[in-house]
Amino acid sequence: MQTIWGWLPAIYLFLGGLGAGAFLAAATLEFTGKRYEIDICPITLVGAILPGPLVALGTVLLIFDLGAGLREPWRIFYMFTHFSSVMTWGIWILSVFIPLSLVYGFLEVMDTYPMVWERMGKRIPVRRIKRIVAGVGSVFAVGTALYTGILLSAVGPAIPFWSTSILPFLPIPMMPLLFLVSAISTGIGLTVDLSGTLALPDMQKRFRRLPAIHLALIGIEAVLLGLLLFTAFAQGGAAAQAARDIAMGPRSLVFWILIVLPGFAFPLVVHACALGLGRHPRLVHLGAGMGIVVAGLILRYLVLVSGIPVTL
Amino acid sequence: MLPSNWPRWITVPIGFGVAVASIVFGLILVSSVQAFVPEAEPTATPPRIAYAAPLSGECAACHADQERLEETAASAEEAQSSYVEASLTESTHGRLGCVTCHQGTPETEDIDAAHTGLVAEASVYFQEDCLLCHRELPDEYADDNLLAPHDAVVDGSAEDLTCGDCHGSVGHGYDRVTGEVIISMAGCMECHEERDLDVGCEVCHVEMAAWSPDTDCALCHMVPNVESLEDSNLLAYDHAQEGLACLDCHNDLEGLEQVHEYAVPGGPVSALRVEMEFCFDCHVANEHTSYEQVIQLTADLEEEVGANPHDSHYGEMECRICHKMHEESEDYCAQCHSFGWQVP
Repeated sequence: MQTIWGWLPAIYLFLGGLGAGAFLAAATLEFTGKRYEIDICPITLVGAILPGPLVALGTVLLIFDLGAGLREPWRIFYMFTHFSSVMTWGIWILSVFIPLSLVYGFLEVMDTYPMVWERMGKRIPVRRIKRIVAGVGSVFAVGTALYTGILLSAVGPAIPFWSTSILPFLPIPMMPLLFLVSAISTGIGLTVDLSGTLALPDMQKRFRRLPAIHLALIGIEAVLLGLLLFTAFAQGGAAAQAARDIAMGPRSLVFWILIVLPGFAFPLVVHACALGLGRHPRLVHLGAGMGIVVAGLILRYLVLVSGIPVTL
Repeated sequence: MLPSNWPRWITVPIGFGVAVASIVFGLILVSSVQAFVPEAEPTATPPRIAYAAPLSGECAACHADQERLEETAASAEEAQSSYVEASLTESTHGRLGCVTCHQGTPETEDIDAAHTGLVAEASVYFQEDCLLCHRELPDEYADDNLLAPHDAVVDGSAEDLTCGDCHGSVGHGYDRVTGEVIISMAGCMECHEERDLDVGCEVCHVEMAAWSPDTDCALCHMVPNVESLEDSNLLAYDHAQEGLACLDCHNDLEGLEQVHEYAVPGGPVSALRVEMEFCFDCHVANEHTSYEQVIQLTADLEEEVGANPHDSHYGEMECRICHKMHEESEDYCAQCHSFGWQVP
């Protein structure tokens, strides 16, 4: 029986989102051709190689959290056929996404360091295969990121805050959307902001449109987060109580200082300045990236611990 | 940023390190920030049966649809008795899903298969499931001065009693005891009589001896008096709709105190006999402020029917002779005449 939703689920939801977001960032460079402007592109290396291990690690934690994982590991296979359950969607999405992203990582390594493979004599159309894998994988990456939120909204009837809708009169759950946007943000944070800034001396010249993309994503995420609290307030009951705890109650310090400040306010200022001035100090850019990643994790944790079950 | 002689693939382990580090970092940050604020209430345990929530779907497709029920049910009565209002699936109990309490087989459209293993009276078999949420069931309800032998039911010493015997279809929005729809002490009495149990007031009601103007009249006068406030055929209903409470008419507090002092449960209740002036005091707006006015108001009946009910050979008559409050009004004239008046 699930007792308290705390760090463990927060970590695997975060890892799932981070992996999916990083994959999407790498796939975007792949499709826009940006990846091929550099021989060894640290952004696609990280974005292609890491999603597999990150999401797999998250999945291991998820199975561990399910409780049956250690005593009756075969029970996980029952989940593949229980089609009316959202858990089954998730397990199929993960079962496709993890191998695809491992293959994508392998192909990216083959493409980046071709010497080893060329010595074997056979020429494989690496880039063409990689494009297909990146394309199909992107669909499942979006699925994985959405799924982290669907999982929560499915527990909805018991914990109304998690099934808060987009708008009071629009019964589409907010969590999947919020988690998707947040996943993309953290993915870009890890691949572009952190790895790109660390390893590419001419990052800012190469990615001139990046601050605008960042601003748009942060803006959308901020609006979604604001709407989540607004709709939860409007919904009343346990959902409003959760929103109150977050915005001005016992969890407000974590919300404002550890999520809004590093994940929204600071990166917003940094990228707005970058857009205006055309450049910004690398250390600040690194800080903004780190802030977005950490805030992404804490956001998930806060949403989880703030869920208040309905009083029966 | 990185030394230029470092290979670029080094960003992969660094990236992994960052992901792991941000988890550690987040853990430390949150716990240190949370140390500055008062300990938040721990998230309560989501009841395990709440996970059954989506299981109402296929049941509601028929049971919330009158037409489909009538097509498939054996009789109109059966259709009526198994009809469930759709809005009830959103109630606190409804959100648990039909199957949580009534079993059966969810997720099938085959009617026979769906009803296999069905349990109509859920609490007979699944009392523990009720107790999962309703953990604290006191034996005495101080606010209502009521006793309820919950302990005896829970530990099984109350023989064959189950939750459902008293709380009936609470899952369907109607609680026989707390009465979201109706309150009926009659239900308690009936069962006590059936089982040959004591039916004295003190069996359930504690400390009910002293009457005060704040006492809820419904405790003793539910049937027929307080109940009549809900019956739109009666004048008491119209008076209640205007916001009048019992004590607005039954306003002789001293007299009430006296009669209640020696009152016995089930003892006689004398009707209040108001004088016409008492009615005139309030009925200003519809011009019932004197007997002459009342005669005028029905003057046109003289032409239509040949008689005016308010201008009879009896002279001035008290309003209450025809216009009753807690029972149906009466055409006093009809004892001899047949004017066919509808007395409001």
